[in-house]
Amino acid sequence: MGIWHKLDKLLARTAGRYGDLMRLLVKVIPSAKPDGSDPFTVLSKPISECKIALLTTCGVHLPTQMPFDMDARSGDPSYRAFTWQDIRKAYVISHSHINADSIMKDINVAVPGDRIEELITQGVVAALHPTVYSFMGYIVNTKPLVRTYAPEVAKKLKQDGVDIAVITPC
Amino acid sequence: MGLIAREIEKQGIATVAFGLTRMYLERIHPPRALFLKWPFGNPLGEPGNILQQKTLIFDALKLLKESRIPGVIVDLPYRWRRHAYTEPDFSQLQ
Repeated sequence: MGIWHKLDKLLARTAGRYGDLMRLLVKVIPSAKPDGSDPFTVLSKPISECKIALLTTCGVHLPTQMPFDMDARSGDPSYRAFTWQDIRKAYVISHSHINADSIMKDINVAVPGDRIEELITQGVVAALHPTVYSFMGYIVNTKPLVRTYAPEVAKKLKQDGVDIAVITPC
Repeated sequence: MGLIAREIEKQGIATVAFGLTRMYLERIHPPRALFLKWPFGNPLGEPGNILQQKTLIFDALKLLKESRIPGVIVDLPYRWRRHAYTEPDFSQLQ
């Protein structure tokens, strides 16, 4: 591992744990509507008829799944898919730049499946999409994310009849 | 997170993204976002704080119901560990 790679990891880890430093670093992100577009979908049906999918960039996944690659120089834009029923039994977080204590105590801090299930019981929403999609937020080179991985997940959500996607960061 | 939301929205699925860095939200332009100036690693608050989680989900669904233009960022007023949460009125969403 080269000196710049080590510095990069140290900076990312430090920034992830100290919010104000991260907020300062974000100033170097290129201002962007990355592809010039402004995608927007007006909700076309009552919320009580909607199927909700949960996504996170906290790097959560099942213990049996491959960890996110925290050594990749340009970050890891891949994702992990798992069911809500599985993740609530056991999970790990391989996003080493964040303080994972809160999420390890309560998965709902990142993936609020219990809260959505309560809302289904109350008739507030119709359904929870069984599959959760999880990314890891440290992605320096975003092109593979925008060109491949995120569109792939988006198409799967569309095929599965999802109406609403709720996304949590870390 | 914002980039993922944009790709999902292109498929005709409405998204709402929480954000912990406002400047990031301003630069990436997610279709709808809720900003919380909270510690990283706590997107929906403190572990086990069910009322807090319910409140944030309510805010997300309310934004989904009401937003008509892209790029809205809502600055949520909740202060970290200094807000008394009450049961949200989900009937407002119907």
